Amino acid sequence: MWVLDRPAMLLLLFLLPPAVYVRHFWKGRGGKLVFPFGSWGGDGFRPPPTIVTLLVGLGAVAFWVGVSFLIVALAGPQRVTREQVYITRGMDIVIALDQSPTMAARDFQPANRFEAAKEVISDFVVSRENDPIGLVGFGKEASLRVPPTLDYPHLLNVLDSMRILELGDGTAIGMGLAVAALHLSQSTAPRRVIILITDGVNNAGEILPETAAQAAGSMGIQVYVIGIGSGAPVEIEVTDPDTGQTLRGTVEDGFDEELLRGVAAAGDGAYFYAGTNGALGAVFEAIDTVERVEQRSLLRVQQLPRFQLFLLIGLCCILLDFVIRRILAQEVL
Amino acid sequence: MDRARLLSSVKRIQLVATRLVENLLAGDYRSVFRGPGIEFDEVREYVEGDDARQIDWNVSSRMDSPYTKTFREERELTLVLIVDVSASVMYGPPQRARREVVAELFALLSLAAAVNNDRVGAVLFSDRIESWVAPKKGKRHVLRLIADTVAVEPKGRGSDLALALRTTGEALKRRGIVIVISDFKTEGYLPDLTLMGRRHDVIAIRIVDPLDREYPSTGLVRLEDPESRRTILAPGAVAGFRNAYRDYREEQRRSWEADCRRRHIGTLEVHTDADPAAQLIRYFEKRKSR
Repeated sequence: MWVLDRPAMLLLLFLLPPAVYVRHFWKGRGGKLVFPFGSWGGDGFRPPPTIVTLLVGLGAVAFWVGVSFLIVALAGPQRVTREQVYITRGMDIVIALDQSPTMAARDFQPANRFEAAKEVISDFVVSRENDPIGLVGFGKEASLRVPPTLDYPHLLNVLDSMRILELGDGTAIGMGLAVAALHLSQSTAPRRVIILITDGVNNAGEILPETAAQAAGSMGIQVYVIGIGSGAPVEIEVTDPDTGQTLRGTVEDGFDEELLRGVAAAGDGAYFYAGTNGALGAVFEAIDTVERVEQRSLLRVQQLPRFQLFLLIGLCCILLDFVIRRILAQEVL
Repeated sequence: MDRARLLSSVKRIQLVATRLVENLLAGDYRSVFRGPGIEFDEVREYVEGDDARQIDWNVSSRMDSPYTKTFREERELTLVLIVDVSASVMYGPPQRARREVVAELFALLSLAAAVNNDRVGAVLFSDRIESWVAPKKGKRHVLRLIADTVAVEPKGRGSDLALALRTTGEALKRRGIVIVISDFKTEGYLPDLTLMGRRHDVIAIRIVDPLDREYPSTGLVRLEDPESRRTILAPGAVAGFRNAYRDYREEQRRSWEADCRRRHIGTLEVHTDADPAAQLIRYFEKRKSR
């Protein structure tokens, strides 16, 4: 946004018309030679138009444009930028997302559970402002994809690139939780939260989900667990990212709701069940509303003076006029 | 001009002009402008070689020795000098030359007339009649006229020659000599000049400055016309501009000369960069021999 530091200086622009009059039209102005070229009662001598006189005219225009620019420069044009700066640290959130093949079940719109979860997570991320968010993926193994960060665009990029079966055929809920908890353990944030999204039973990994949840709970980390899936038999279709093979099948086994409740309880959080897209969205909205810490922020207003540009243009215009008159046209007076 | 300079200027012009007139100009002036006839002057003793036909027998018998009548040209001509004192002639110290040339011409012509016993009147004009002095005889009158002309401080700026010609024409009843001294940077005077040329002996003297012929090759300067106060931008370094100026001046000169010649009006151009008296005398000599 552009503002003027001393807008009153623009009143000087009102002096321009009189100044132009005095310099170019007033009878009593100086810089003239008396020379009888006229003829009383007649036309007298009419000089033919020459390039030089044309240029001198242009120079005069440039001169006054330059003066106008100088006046604007005097008024102190500035670019003002406003930036919100948080002075408190937000809460750390790590989202642990199930990448097991069952996530490819087609009971969620638009494609499958996995895609639906990704979509909802993106919306959630975008709605946060000063909370570092991290991402953990788990299948047979678990890995940290993004440590808690405020660089949301990067986070969303990584989220978008996640594929089912990347981390093997299996569901190591305990590993996912543990990795998430590990990366929150050193955090100094006032609040730390893990959001676990899964649709299966814990069938891999060396750490039990309850153990991991207890560890998290003992560190003061809250664990929200979201179980997704309809429970009914659903067909799945998944492409192995390593071999390029497409696997088709039907899943029937639902998730271990008891286990998930236990995990949520151990992690001092809550368990949610999301059977449809809408329910999943609502769950995230609920978490979003609940998990808010009071944040204090400052509005940093930065004023960047931009008069140099006007000064430069103004001086160039005036110099142009000078060059035309003194050097090109060899003005004498 | 302060008073001391003015007085010395008047004195100098009067002195120079008087000498020039008595030695050189008076005779020529007399020959160029002839009176309408001859008249009886006096009777004097006959000397050998006189025309026997002019012997006045009555006086001879009364005086008992031969006496002869002498005659002289019937003069009593009237000279009116119309002098342009517009701003284009009078402006600025650097161009004092024009003003001085005008004053000198005025002095020479009026003194020549005075020496030949003619009556001299003067009209000084700008865009109005600045002064009008009725024709009178006598050297004292002429010397006063010269002083007035040198000292004139015109109130107007323009040059309305038509008005001056009309005024002179109305005042001058009998045939006379009218000499116009001007730079002729004016228009619309031709009808009045035609009338003037029919009734009187008219000579137009045009004052020409070197700057009236060529524009000097200088840098850019803004020029102001002293009469109209109009200004133009003069790029003196541009050949096109200088040529246009020269052509304009040449055209003005040519049309002035043609206009005067068509009306049987004598024309003389006096250049400020040469001696005006010499130019005037040369002109009269040429005209006499015609």
